[in-house]
Amino acid sequence: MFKELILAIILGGLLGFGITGGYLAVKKDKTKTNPITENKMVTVSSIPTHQAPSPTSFQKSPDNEKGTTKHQITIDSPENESVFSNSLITIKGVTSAESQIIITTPSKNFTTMADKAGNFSQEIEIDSGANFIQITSIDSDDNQASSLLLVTYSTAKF
Amino acid sequence: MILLGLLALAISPTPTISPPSPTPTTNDEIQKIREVVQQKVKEKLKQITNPSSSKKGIVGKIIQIDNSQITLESQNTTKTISIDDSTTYVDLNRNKSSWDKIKIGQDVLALVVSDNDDSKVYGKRIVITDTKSIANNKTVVIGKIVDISTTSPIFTLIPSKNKNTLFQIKTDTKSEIYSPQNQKINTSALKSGHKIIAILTPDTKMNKTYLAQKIIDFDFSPSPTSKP
Repeated sequence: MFKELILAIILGGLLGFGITGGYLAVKKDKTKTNPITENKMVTVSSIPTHQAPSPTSFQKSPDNEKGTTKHQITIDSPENESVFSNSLITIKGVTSAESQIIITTPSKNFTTMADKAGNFSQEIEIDSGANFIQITSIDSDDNQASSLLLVTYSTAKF
Repeated sequence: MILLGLLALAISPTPTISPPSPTPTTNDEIQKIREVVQQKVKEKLKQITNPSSSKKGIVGKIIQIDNSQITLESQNTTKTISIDDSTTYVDLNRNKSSWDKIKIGQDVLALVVSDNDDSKVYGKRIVITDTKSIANNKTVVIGKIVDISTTSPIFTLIPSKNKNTLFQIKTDTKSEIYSPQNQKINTSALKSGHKIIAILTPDTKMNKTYLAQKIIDFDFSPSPTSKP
């Protein structure tokens, strides 16, 4: 009985150290990882030109004036040229923290905010057929970045 | 010394009967089965959440037609789409059309199915489209109002990042003005000096003028005179 007790104390100690060490190692790895730059699909900071009365072009995202990081927007989903059988879809992506997000379809406009990690998600309604969706992010320094997405709403079986 | 003694006692063979523990081989097999099940669940989830992964909608201009394929210029790339007897065609009026009505220069929406590696694209439905009707010609701009007309619903805006440019913006009854808290406000709340985000479309009636679809006024401050 006494032997088992001692053995249990020793094993318990070893197990405790092992778990604590493992937890600290995982925590250290996580702090090294940048969640914004990992596993993202497409980053587009410009959109195809369209006719506009002003000579000014806002398609390119200006560099941060302090020269630190470039304001960008990355769309995680949906993929470009996706086809949906439902008119309600959700746009998800990542940009600079707490940026204003403006999503425009040919007929509707939607606005939301990115969270502190820069993530955003917004349900939008698309029209029947092809839809060019423009997603614009404006950060706290008024830098703009845009991405253009083509999605199709079709109930046709194919 | 006592500790060493305790340790020696602890690791000496014991007459007690311990329950049979699973062999390493069994653990490995269980782990493998787990991994296989996890993989299958992932694949199924992907199929459920993204059922149209191999289906695409491509918009482009026909630049070449061959016996069994058409080539589109789409978003600055060329895409070749295979056509067969099962391909259906739809004209501008959404009526059924045919292969012989397909011409070079037409804008189309091609609903296609592609191989998993995108090596071959099969056209299933070719819809002749007016690209003007699906174009997104909206402009989003952030800047400051520098002048408001007292005689017409027009104001001037200078973008924050391009001080050399002026936007002449017109509001109408369809223009929606919001506070940062998403509270709908009146056009009269817009004042010179206010920082705004504006979603604009070119005004087809007035040259060099934009029509405001939606405005967010960051400097809006509620006052007794402002109407919500």
